[in-house]
Amino acid sequence: MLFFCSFLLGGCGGETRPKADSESSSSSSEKIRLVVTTTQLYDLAQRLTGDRFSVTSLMGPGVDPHIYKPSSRDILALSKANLVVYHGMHLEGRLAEALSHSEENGISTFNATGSLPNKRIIYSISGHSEQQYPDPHVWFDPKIWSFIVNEFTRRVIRCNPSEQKQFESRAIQISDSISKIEEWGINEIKKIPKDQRTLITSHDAFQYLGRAMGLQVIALQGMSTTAEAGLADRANLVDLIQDHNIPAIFIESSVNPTAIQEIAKECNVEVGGELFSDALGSNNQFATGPNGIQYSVGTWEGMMVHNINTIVKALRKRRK
Amino acid sequence: MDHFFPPLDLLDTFAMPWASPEDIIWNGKIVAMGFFVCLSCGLIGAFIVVRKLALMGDAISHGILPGLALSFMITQSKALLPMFIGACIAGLLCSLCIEWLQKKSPLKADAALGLTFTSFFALGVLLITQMGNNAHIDAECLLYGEIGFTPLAKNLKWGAIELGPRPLATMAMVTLLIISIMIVFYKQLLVTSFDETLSISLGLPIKAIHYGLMLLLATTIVAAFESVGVILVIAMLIFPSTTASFFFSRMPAILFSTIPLAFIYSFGGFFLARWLDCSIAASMVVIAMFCFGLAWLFGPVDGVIPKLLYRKVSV
Repeated sequence: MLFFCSFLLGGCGGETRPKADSESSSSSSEKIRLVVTTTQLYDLAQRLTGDRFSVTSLMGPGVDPHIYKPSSRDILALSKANLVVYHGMHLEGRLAEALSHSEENGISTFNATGSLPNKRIIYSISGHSEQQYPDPHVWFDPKIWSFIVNEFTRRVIRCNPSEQKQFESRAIQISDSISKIEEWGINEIKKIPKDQRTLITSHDAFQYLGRAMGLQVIALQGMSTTAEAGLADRANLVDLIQDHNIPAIFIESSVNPTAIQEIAKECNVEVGGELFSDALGSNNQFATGPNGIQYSVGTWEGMMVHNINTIVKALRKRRK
Repeated sequence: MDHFFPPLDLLDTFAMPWASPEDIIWNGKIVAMGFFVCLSCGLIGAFIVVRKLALMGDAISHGILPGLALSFMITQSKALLPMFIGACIAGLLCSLCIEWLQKKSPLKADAALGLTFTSFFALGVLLITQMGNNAHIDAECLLYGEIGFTPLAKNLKWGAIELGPRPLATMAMVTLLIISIMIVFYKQLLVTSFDETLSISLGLPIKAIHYGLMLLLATTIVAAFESVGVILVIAMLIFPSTTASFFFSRMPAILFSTIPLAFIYSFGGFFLARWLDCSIAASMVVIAMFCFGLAWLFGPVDGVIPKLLYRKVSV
């Protein structure tokens, strides 16, 4: 039965519309095995599917997806998956590249950002070439993340149509929660004096957050988490911090903090705290959000609340 | 300690990978990839090591980076053939530069080698940074491959016949190529490796054979690096023949023992990685290291313990 199901799922995989896969495994005692790549997708998948699917995440909290390396068990999880959900937009590097051909090897994949409208994607020029690259850090834009929630829900329903109602109601809950955080976040950012709404971090992950919440975002080392910042980049950043009276700059949980710490020392500004950029935090750390609700930073909401709180707290201060 | 060494679950480690036909195909592809890498590298490595060029593999494998970068720049794609040609040219150039420096400058062989391949690698890194951060090739993907992705790779098709995942099919073809070249040119390779004067008096084209071998080495490295990474390719060039040399002193025996060794490395590495839940390619080298240690201790030819025993008997 299991083989039969996975065969059916294989048939309904990818972006091609399925004709009939309605008898998928709701009757099977075995749960559908969902493998997701990033922590953001894991949070989403778990909350969306509840206990109906077994969800495995390849990357743990604090793992940088750009340089993730799979272990033997990760490969095993992939081989057993009914559906592999990946973020796409080159966030996972070689993993997504490998997954993009996996359809013909009988693994259904779902590219979470695959159907994102082009006009909402931020493109950035990297290096010296004229080519533009899509910025993959879309989870920082609540509207885009809501969009992905809906796409994901549709895909999950295709795997298990008998529980469409439950999935849809959960998706609505998640979307509501996202828009609540969005509203709260925009108001929080407004507490920062207007000329100080500049977020400076190590790698260029926060452009979407900036666009959604009204912050100017500047990063030291471009989109890559591993590239070292060039000397000119660094000098420019130092000048900019001094010219614009920026009170604090930020380190990221999944990127080496040394360069930012050095610059902070050099410019005599504060290190405003650690932001979650490419991975969510662990489940036993909490952040206080709208109406004093505690959110675990292992969830999307907690991550956003933590980041916004950290940013607002550090940037509100007037520079000495 | 439990975190470091999880308890060894025999059933899970050894039996589960082969529990169903899908599992066998999936895991078989990974092990087969490891096997072909070990075999091809081991065979060619045997000649490289006796020519005292063990680190030439190191040099060429790093030297191919500018070739990869340039071919990517020109074609804007990661298509196999241009990458392959670019890497082979760069690899050959690298080995030519080493020779040339050795002959035309007062530098010693090791200094010439170190100087050349690091410059090539640095040039490659420079080219890649100039292309931009998202060029999808980087020094890292050269240094560490991922053998676990083998079953996910695109299938190579030849007409209507599916030849299996691209890296695996390529590696198998390279292995076949190496075996056939070794059969055809065995005598020439052997004589030029061991006795230069004899090969000159026999009128063998020493230079041509040397560069032929270098080209073959470059080919193997290019075929293997994407799945296992160059550091492991270097290990596989050196480990099999040095391990076998503790058991046999004749070349044919050393070459043939590459087959069982490749078998042990690939399966051993696979199981070790399953047990410890770690990188498969690195586990393969750790297994190779263990085999080497055992051979060094107990090998009948110049092994530590047989030597001690022999000394006692002779006194």
